[in-house]
Formats: sequence, C-alpha cells, structure tokens
Amino acid sequence: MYASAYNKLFWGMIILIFHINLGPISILPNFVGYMIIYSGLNTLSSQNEIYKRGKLPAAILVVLSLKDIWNNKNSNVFTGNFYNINVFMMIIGGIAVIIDIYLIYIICSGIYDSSRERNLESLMINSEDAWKFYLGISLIFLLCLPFSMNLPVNYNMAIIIISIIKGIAAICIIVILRKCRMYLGT
Amino acid sequence: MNINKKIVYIIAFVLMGVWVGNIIYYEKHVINEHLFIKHYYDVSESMDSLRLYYVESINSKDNVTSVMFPEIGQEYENFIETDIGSSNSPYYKLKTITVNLYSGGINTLPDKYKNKLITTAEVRFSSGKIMNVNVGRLYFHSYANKNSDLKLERQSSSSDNNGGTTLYTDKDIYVTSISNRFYNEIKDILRVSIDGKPLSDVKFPIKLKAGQTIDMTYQFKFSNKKDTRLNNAYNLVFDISTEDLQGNRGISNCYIDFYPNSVDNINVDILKR
Repeated sequence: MYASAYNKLFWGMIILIFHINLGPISILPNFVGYMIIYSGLNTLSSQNEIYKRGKLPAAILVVLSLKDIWNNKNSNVFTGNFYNINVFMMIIGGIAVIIDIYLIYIICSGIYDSSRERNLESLMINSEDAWKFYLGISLIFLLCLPFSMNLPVNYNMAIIIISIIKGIAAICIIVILRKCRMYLGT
Repeated sequence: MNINKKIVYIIAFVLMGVWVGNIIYYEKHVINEHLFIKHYYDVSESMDSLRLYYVESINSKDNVTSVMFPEIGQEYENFIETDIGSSNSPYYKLKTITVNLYSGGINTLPDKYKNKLITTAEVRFSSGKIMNVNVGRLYFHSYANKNSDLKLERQSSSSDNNGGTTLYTDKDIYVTSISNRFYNEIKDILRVSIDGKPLSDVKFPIKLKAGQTIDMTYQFKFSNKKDTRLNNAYNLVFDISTEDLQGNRGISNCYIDFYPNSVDNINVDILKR
C-alpha cells in the first residue's frame, strides 16, 4: 500500500526535475508532479501523521506552478537568456521555492520518523543529510535569484550552476524515496 | 528533525532584505518609455539609409509600426527595425530604425529630402503609442554640379572610435578649407588632424602637387563619462574645399561617424532627463 505511495513521491519528484517541452508547451509541467506528490502524501498520511502536513503546501504548489505549462522560449537557462523579467512572477517563484522547501522538509521528516520507528538508522541519516543539502542549496538559490534582476546577464551563469546543484540535491531525495519503497513500503 | 526557529527568523529576515532591496533597485532602473538618442547627421547623397537609435526596456515587446518626418511631409518612410544585441544590461536593449533613403539610383537622394533639415519624427508603436521624437539634427546634403579634385585612396575606422582617410590628387591643387557644420560644437571630443597636425593649427591653403596625398585622421575622445554627448550618434561629412591652378573650385568629402554599438555605452539616466 505504502510502496505505491512512495512510488508516487518518486515520480512526482522526477517530473519536478526533468522537463520535456514540445515547442513552448511543457509536456510534464511541475503542477502534474505536485499533484502526484499530493496523492502520495494523501496515502502516506495513515502511515505517519507528519505527511498530512505536506498536503496543503503540495496543493498550493499545484496552483502556483500552473504558470509553468507555457514555457517562455525567451528565458532559457541553458542559453543564459533571462529576458522578460517580471517582478511579480519572480516573487511568485520565490514564494513557490519557500513552500517547496517546506514540502521537502515534510517528506524528509516523514521518512526520518518512519525510519526511526523501524530502526532503519541509515535511512534516517540519509533523509536528514538529503534535507540539509536540499535546504542549503535552496536557500542559496533564493538568496541569488533576486540579484538576477540587477546583475549583468552573464552573471546568471551562477543561477544556472546553483539550479544544477539543486537538481542534484533533488536526485538525492529521489534515491531515498526509491529506498523507502523497499524499506517503508509495507 | 527539528528546526531552530531563531535561525529560521534570521534567514527569513536576510532573504526579505535581499529581495526587497533588489526589487527597489530594479524598479528604479526599469523604463516604460522608448528613449531616443540624439542624432547629428550630415546625410550625403551617397547614403541610401540612415539609422535612428532608441533604448527600451528589455522586457518590451513593442515594435515600430510607422515612421514619419512631419517637417518634409506626411509620407510614411520605409524602414527596418533591428535589435542591437551583445548587451550585458539586465534592464535595457538598444534598437535601431533604419530608414531607407534609396530611390533607385546611385547618389540620387529623393527630392523630398534634398537640402532639408529634420529635427522631429513621428513614431508609432504596435502598442498604439505615438511619439513625437526630437531626433537631433539631420541635414540632407545636396551639391549642385559637385566637382571633386581629391580621390579616395584608403579609409579606415576602428571600434574604439578613431579612423582615417587618405585622399590623393592627380593635378596640382590648393586645399582652401576643411569644414563641418557640427565640428565647432564637438571639437573638444572630436580630434581631427590633417597630415598629423590638429585641424585648428592647420594654415590654409595647403598646396598639393599631382600625385600627393592628404591624410585626415580622427578620434572621438570623451574625458568625462557623464558627458551627455556620449549618448549621441554622429555621422559627419567634412567638406574639403579645393581650387586648382585655373581657379576651378571643387568639394571633396571625408566621412566620420560615431554610433553606439551597445546599450552598455549609453547612459540611460541622462537620457531619462
């Protein structure tokens, strides 16, 4: 029962990291990922109470990430183009990152608590380390993001590098979710 | 996995400060208007186009839909609008409106422009906005029966705003004067030399024997980065007046230009005033 829920969290996170676009339209937009995570958290609420607290941030992120369906071809991190800066959308993006940090905290806390109940020490340590890594890089990202409004376009390379590291931190969490399917799935 | 609330408050405070600070700074720099630079052009008959430069917000999706010079009539001009890339600015982009003056033949300026002075342009944008722009001063040259005793041997220019022209003559002549209508206004930033001597120190007439050359070099040099003229575009035609031994007069031209090549070279704060 819980294995499929952890599997949903796994696939939800995969969708959040990897983006496939068909022209300007994102085939797997973030909101789909958050919906799958919401569904996973809904099931996991009966395994550990803490997962219940993740449903609200996941639901808010579904709404906030609806804007990502339409991919702006003028803003491409790989070409270094960050044109069309929209302060309002940037603030929304910043708020989404904060809520996302909280959501990842809930997921990692849930794994940590469930692992402790089953004396799975390595999974406990892994989930705590992954959370700290994700928190650290997300805070650096949040700190650097507003500077992209005012620094020369070339400096956005720093944002690209931080985004890649943030992706690696998310992959660490994905690997843990894979383990959870085996160790916490029953 | 507990979180220290004190650390959360400190982080939230720092993030808030960084975000608010950057947004205020960004809003201070962002522009909603199109800011045209001033152009000081001698438009000669050999020019088939002229470029008007303007700065707009990097986020702007507005395009120019029509250009008209009300001082010469109500006709819309043929033009091409282009983006000048290679900017590092997070706020602005530099665009040009290239007005086509070509009338179908070489050195034939359409009659509507001949000997006219243009100072304003009516520019319409796709957003519906209409601007009456002070473009500077665009003088359209037209010489009646122009006779040139000096021929072009070589010409050079570089991206650091200097260059030179070498002209030669195939008969004995006197160079009686070298002039340009804008030169007095900008001689502190435009250094023109004739055969290595500053133009102001040159004594006219200069005698040139057949086969001899005359070198004219120039350099734009701004001592002050806040000089408003850094925001201008110049296309200058220097008239070199000559007279041969029979008393026949001629005019030869020497071209000097200074265009902004990136929005990074433009002081937008000065343009806003």
